[in-house]
Amino acid sequence: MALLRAATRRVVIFLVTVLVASAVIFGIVQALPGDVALATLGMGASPESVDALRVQWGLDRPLALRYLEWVVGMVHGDFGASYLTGQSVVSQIGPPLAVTAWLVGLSMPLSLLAALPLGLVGAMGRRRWFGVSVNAATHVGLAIPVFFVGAILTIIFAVKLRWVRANGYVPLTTSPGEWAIRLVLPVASIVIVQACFLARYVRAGFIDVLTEDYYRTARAVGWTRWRGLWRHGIRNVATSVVTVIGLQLASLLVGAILVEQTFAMPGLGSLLVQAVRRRDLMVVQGVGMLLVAAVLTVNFLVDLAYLAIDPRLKRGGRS
Amino acid sequence: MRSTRFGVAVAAVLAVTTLLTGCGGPTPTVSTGKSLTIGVTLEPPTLDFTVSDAASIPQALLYNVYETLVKIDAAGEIKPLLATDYSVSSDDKTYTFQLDPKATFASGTPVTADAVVSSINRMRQGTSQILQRGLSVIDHVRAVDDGTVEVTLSSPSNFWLYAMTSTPGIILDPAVTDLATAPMGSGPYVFDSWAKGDRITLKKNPDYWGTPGRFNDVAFRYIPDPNAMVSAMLSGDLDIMGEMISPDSLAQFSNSEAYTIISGTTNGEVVLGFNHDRSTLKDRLVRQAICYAIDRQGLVDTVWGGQGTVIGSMTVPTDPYYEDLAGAYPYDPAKAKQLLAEAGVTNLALSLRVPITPYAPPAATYIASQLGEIGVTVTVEELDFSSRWLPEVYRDGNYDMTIVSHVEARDIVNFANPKYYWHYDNADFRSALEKADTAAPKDFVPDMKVAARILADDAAADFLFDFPNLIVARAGIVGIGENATSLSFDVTTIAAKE
Repeated sequence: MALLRAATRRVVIFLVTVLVASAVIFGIVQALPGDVALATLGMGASPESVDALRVQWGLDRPLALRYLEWVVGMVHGDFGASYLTGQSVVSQIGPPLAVTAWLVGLSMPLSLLAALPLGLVGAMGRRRWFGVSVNAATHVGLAIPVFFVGAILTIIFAVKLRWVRANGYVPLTTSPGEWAIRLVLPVASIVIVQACFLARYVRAGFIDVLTEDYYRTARAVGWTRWRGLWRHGIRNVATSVVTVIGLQLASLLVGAILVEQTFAMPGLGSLLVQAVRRRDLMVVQGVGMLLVAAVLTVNFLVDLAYLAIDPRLKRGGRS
Repeated sequence: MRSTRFGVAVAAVLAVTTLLTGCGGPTPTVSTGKSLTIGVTLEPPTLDFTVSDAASIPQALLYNVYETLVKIDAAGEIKPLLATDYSVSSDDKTYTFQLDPKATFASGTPVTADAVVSSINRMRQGTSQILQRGLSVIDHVRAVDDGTVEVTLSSPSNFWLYAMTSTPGIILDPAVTDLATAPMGSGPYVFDSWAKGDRITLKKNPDYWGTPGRFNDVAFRYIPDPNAMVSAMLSGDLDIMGEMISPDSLAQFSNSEAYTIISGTTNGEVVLGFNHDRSTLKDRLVRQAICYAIDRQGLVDTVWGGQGTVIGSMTVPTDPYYEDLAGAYPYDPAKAKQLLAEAGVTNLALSLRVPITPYAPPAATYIASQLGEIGVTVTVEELDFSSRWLPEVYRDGNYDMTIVSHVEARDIVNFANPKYYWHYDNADFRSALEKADTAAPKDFVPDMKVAARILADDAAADFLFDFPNLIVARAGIVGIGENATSLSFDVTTIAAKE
C-alpha cells in the first residue's frame, strides 16, 4: 500500500514536472531572438516572402493556441514536425538518440569500473606515495576539459598512430567494426574525465569507513585492511557514488554536445545545436522535452538504487 | 574469494584500458580509388532545392546527380551539358536548345524535350528565391520536337541563361516524387543515402550516358567543427577537405608528398557594406575616404593568411566581365583625411556591426583600427547571424557598416535593389545593369564592365577581397577544379591515381 502511494506520488510529480518543463521550454524557445522564417530564407529574403512563410507555418497564430496544440499533440505521441522539412520530430530524434545513448551508456559504466579501484587505492594509500599519486592524478584529470582530452587523444591515436578513426559515426547495424573504432576516442575522453571525478567520491567514501568502529572491529577479528575496507566500505561508497552518477548522467546527456562537436558525431547535442542555428523550433522543443524526461527518469532510477543499496530504506524507515 | 573478485575487477579495468588506448585495434584502411570522401562544413536542411536556397544542396547534387542544359566550367564559361547546342533568336528573346540524343536519366528514361519542358515549368513553381528570381523572366516553354526545346522570355536577359547553369536549370527525372529525400537526375552519380548529421552518399550511375564517374561511391561528410575537419583529414579519413574554414590550418598540410593544396577563387565577395540611408554615408566623398583608409592587401595578409584576391568591385576573377579594379582606391590615409575634410565631416563615429563568422570579426577589428588612423571612431559589434544580424542589420537596416561575404554568383544585381540592406539607390547603375542584361549576348561583357565600374567609382561599398577556394586533397587525387565557379562541388572530373 505504502509502495503504491509512493509510486502514485512519483508519477504525479513526474507529470507535473513535465508539464511545467513544457511551458518553460516553449517559452524560452519562443523568446529566442530572431525570426524563424527570416532565418530560414536567409539573405535572399524579401519582407513578403518572410510573411508568406510565417503564415504557411502557422506562426502568425496566437502563442497560447500553438502551445496547446503542441502539448495536446505530445499527449497523443505527436511531437510535431520540423517547419522546414515537414519531417516528424520523433523520426528526427531517433537516430541521434541512439548515438548519444551509446556514448553515455558505454562511458558511464566504464568510468565507474575505472573509478572504483582508483578510489580504493587512493583511500588505502592516502598517506603513502601510491595513494597520493593516484589522488594527484585524478585531480589533474578533473582539471582538463573533456574536449581538450578529446583533442589530445585524437592527435596521438588517430593522427600520429592512426590506430582509430578521428571522428564521425557509423551505426552499429551498418558496420560493427567501424562503429566501435569511431566510438573509442569519444568514450575514452569521457571516461578519463568522469573516472577522475568519480574516483574522488569513491576515495572519500572509503576514507570515511576507515574511521568507523565496525571497520576497527573487522580488523580486530583478523580481517586484512583491504578485505575489511572492500567488504564494509562498498555499500557506504555506493550511496554517495550513485547520487553523483545520477547527477553526472544528467549533465552528461546535456553536456554530450561538447564531445559530439569535438568528434563530429550526429548525436542529440549536434541535433540541438543545428536546430537552434536553423531556428527549427519544433525540433528544439522536442529535444528539450526528451532531455527533461531523461533526467527525471535517471533521478527515479537513482531512488530505486538507494532502495537496493540501503536495506534500512526498505523497512519503511524513509520519511 | 573476495580477493578473487577484486582480481577480476582489476583485470577488467586493465582490459578496458587496453581497449581504450586502442592497442590491438584494427588499422583503418586508407580509402582506394573506389570511394571518395569529401569533408565539408554545412549540411543541407533538406534536399529540396525548389524550397530551400541552402548552398549545401547544389554543393552535393548539382552536376553530380542533377544536370542542367548548360553548365558553367572551371574557367567560368557556359558549356553544353544536356544540350549539345543552343541558338538565340534575333530579338534575343527566344532560346532554342538541341538536346543530346544520347542523354538519359539514371532511371533509364531518355531526356526528351517533354521532360525538359515539364521540369522547367516545375522549377517555375518553386518557392525558392533563387528559382523565382532566375526564372521569372520566362514567358513560356515548348517542345518543338523530341530533341528540341524552345524557351521564350518576356524580355531579353543574359542573366537568365547563366541562372540556367545552376539550380533553376536542373532537369528532373519525370519519375521523381520526393525531392527532399530522393533526388533523381541524369548525372554520373545517383543519390544513395543520407545519414543525417553525418554524410550524404552518392553511388556511381552505371548506365551514365556520358563519361562515367570514376568512383563507385562518393560521400560528402558534414563536419562543422574546423578542428575535427583537420583531424579527419590528417588521420586519413577524408580524401578531400573541401573547405578550409581558417587558413591557419594550411601549415599542417605542407607535406607536399602527402597532400595537395588547391587555392583558387570563389564567387564570394567579402564586402564592407555601407548603409546608404545614413546621411554621412550618402556622401560619396566619405565613402571614398573610407576606401582609401583601408589597406585591403594588408587586411587579407593579417586576417586571412594572405589567401584571397583583392578586388575593386562586386565581381570576381572568374566572371566573364571581370576587370581588375583593385587599384581604384590604393591605401592612402593622407588622401582619406583630405577627402573627409573636403566633405566637411569631423568627429565621424560609425558602427560596424558584423555577423559572427570566421572572417568578419577579425576584419572588423583591422578596419576599426585603420579608420581610427584617419580620425573615424568605429564601434565594432559582433552579432549572431540568424538571431541578430538578419533581423537587425539585414531586415531593419540598423547599422552603419557591416562585413559579409556574398557567396552567390553574379550578386552584383543586389546593388540595383534599393530595398536590399545596403539601400543603395543609384539610377545610373540600375540602367547600366539593365542595359547589360537585355543587351545582345555579345554586348553583355562590355556593358557589365561599365556597370561594375560605376560601383567602384561611386564607392558603393568597399570591396575587400574575393574569398579564396582552399581545398586540401590527399596525394593521388586529381582533377579538382581550382576555382569554385558554381555552387557545385563538381566530382565528375575528379579521379584517383593509385
